[in-house]
Amino acid sequence: MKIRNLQLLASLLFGMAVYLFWIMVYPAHFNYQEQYQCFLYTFDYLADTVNCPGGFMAYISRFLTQFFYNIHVGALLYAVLLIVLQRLTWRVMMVLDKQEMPKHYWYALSFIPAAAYWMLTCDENYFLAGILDISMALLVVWGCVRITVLKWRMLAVLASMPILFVMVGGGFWFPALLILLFKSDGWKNKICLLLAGSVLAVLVVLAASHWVQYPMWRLWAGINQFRIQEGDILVQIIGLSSVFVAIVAYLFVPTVPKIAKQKITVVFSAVVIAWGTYYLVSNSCNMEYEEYMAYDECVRRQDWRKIIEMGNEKVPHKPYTVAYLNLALGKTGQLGNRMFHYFQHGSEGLIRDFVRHPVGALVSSEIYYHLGLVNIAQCHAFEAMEAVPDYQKSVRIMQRLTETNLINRQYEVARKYARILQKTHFYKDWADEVLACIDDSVRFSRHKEWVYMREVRNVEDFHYSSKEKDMMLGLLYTHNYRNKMAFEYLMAYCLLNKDLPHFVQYFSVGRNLNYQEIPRHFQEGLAMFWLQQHNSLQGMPWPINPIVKRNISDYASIYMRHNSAKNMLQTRYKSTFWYYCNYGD
Amino acid sequence: MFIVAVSALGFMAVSCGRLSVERAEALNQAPILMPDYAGVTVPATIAPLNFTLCDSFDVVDVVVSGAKGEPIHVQGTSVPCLPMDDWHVLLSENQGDSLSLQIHVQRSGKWFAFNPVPIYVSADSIDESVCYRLIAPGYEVYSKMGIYRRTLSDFNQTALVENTLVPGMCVNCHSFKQTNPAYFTMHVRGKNGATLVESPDHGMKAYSTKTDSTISSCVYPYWHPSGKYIAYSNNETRQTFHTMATKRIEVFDFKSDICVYNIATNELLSSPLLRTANYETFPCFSVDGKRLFFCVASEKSMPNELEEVRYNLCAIDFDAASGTFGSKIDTLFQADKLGKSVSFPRVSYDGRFLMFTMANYGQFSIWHKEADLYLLDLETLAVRPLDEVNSSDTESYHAWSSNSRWVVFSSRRMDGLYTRIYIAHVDESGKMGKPFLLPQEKPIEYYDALIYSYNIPEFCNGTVQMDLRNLENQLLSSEKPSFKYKK
Repeated sequence: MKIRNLQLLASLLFGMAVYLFWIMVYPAHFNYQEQYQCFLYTFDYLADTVNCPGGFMAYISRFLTQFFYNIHVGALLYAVLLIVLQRLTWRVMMVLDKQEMPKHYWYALSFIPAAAYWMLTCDENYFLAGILDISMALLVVWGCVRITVLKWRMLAVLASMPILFVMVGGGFWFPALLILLFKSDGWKNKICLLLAGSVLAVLVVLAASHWVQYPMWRLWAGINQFRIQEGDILVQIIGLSSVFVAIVAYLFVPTVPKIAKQKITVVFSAVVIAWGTYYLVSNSCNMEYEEYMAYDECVRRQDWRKIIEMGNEKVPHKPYTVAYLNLALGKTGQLGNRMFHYFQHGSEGLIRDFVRHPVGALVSSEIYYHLGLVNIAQCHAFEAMEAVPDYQKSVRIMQRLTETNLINRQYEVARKYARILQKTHFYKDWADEVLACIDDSVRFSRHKEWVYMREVRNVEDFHYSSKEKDMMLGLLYTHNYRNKMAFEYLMAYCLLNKDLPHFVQYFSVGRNLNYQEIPRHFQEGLAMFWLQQHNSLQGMPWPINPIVKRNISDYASIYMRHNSAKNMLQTRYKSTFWYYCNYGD
Repeated sequence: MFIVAVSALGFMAVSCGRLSVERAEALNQAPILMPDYAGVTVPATIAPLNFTLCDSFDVVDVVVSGAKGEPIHVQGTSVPCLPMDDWHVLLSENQGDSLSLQIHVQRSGKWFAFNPVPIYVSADSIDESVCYRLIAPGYEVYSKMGIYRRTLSDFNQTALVENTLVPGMCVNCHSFKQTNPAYFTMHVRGKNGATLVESPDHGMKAYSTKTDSTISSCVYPYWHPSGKYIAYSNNETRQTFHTMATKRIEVFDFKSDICVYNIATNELLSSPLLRTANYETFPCFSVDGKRLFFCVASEKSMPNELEEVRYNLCAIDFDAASGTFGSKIDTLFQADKLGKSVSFPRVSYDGRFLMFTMANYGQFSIWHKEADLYLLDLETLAVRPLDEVNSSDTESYHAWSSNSRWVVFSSRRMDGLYTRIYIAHVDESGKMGKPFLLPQEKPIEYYDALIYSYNIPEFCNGTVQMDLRNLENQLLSSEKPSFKYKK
């Protein structure tokens, strides 16, 4: 096989590894990335996006990111872009080296930048724009070095700087730096280029500082690569350093004349780079966050059974995932029977307080929405969207805002959001349907969820208080006794707070639900409350299952008599309210 | 056939590509314009009132004409934009008179004529631009926002300051001295928060305005006509959220006082009468600078008695020479007796009127659907609701033009959530003309896509000189000068 084909094969294998990684290890990140932007096919969106340094690449990045809607397309995009980056790195290495015989046996070095950028993409806040920016910069280097006349090459490099500033932003000076490595140019010329390039870079940034309202350091570091502003510099340094180091390494590694040694070099360098890539990527993965994202994706799709399956497979421990698991249990009517089969995080793991964070506010918004607290869900959804650090709007939250306004009969606002969503690719049909429902009540009535939400939502006014969630849930339930989930959340809230007096007090409110059998954990709560007030279980006013009665007697006996009760109870009663009450949270 | 078609095309080309409106059937009804510009009163320098028709048609023909000047004639399959230069010429020639908007539509080859619609062109001039904040109508969290300046004679909007300049900052409460941008103040909240004060004698400085003697930082600024003082209120503010659909947020004060900042001495001045247990807020100087109007409500248990909090309109004397206040407070309008609450008092710069917002309770009328604008005649102290401009939705913040003949105000009437800017003419007797929505090149598309609210609209005469890098440096500085409280 020819060397070139072997190299292509290596690149393809690398791409395949990237693809498989995203599909098998990190798929939920696609949903996260896709939902926190709202790419619109409008001129205004284009103009607004490109109106800052690096805006052009940001626009392309956002255009591509919308296709993360499909994880296979997303994984393919990452694979292709990283292959392109690796191949461009190789091309630039070869042209800068200007040897007649390229050092093919050092091909593995060209994977260093791609590996570094792969590592960066493991952070959910890193955008595709980062890979696009560096690829564009390398393309400029490759193009400029191919200009044979020194004077024109220098001019091309300098001319590219302001253009690159507009297109890629912060790293606009990087091609000029790489050109300094070009072996054919003498030191004098390089010093001239360095001086001219430095002056031009300062002028470009100073000029831009009057044009755009960003801090100076962001004009140097870049604006559109990382969702969180403070991270711009770090990701830019990591990315650019990886390219610089790889190219310098290639230019200065020794030539290996003997074929046998070349083969050893190929194998050795490939193993080192592959291991390094594995090390970097595996240590950059945040699997806890991936787990949250997987839950979140299921909540978005309302795939409650999948969430419970995931919970059964690996019990979640983080507040967000616990809250989503409880939501799934609530939606499937299992909260009262199974919530203590899983780790519980107190009442915060049931209904989270508002936090100024796009994730936290979104989680609480989802829970409030499904409970029927439509206005509070809208409030938290709005805040989640406003909290997106890079000021993008969220297509998912825009959908939620559309729905809540539709349910609340705030039709003009619902129309406004729906008309915006009509300008997206994947949500156009959904937006069309909303608009049709606004004008056609029969059509609206086909959407059972919206109809139900309109029915159960609060119409009496009270002020939301995170400290009085029980009152809020109680009022919600008493407004509409069909809202069984609100009642069960109220009960669960009291149990998770270990607040048995209120639990028992509120329990009577649920008599309209006519349970054939009171949910198991509620029975456990009632029985425990009774035992706290009485010496025996005789005379309990609730129909408690004999097994529960027997178990609580057994539990109480172990709890009272054994010093190592915790261990004994854990094996037998870990999944009961009693165990949670004594040892949980 | 081909020759006939080519001839027909040629004929159309000769007649400027415009179909001639012939034998139009009268519809005997006025067209429904979006935005509703029918019968509005506009200044002669306003940007073209582009609109769309709330009707179906194949072709629309629009003629704007006045008693003087060349009519504007446009035609298209959608309502074309009115040509800027021709529009300005036509308005300037018809100042003090009216224009007629004649609209014909063609449906299935037949022309129909709507009744002509008048647009009144006032002889009163208007200020060059309007400044406002654009912000998403959220609750606690803010995303991208900024203070912008929009010239009224065209559609240009420029950013004065955007919160991308310093990460995490929020900008609000911008204020000019009687529309003069040389005197400017603005608050910045967030980690690097400060209050910016800029005046010709003083330059631009970012201050920390919280002192040991005041309950909070300074908010709700209003310039003294001399440019030497700025009135502020100090508010300990909280907010809460409603659970029902028709209400959204309540913003209320646990405490609030009023003070006046002396720019030259860097001192906050106040009076025990302005620092009581009651809630004093929204200061506003009279035109001669000798009175300070403000709102005051009795102290209540908050937030439980929030719906019992009702602000009256009051005033106290102020002596600019000595920086001292009068010894008594006059109540000019006792809104609580009517079960209402006053906010945002603003005196017209001719000293004749005071406009305020009135809602059922509380001070943050912008989230009250029932909030409307009212006018107090400062000569007779008579108060009347401004029915000419009020709608069934929120009308709230408002500001006078420098000649007191125009008022700009924010309203949620368009969709119930996003505030938009309306401008209305006021004659000498305080009668208002029909307000018009701030014109845009393509207004329906523009406002439909805009997910920001217009906040604190203020007229502005001239360019605001904002040295952004100086501002950035001052905000990021850890050693900001502080206001001092004069004890």
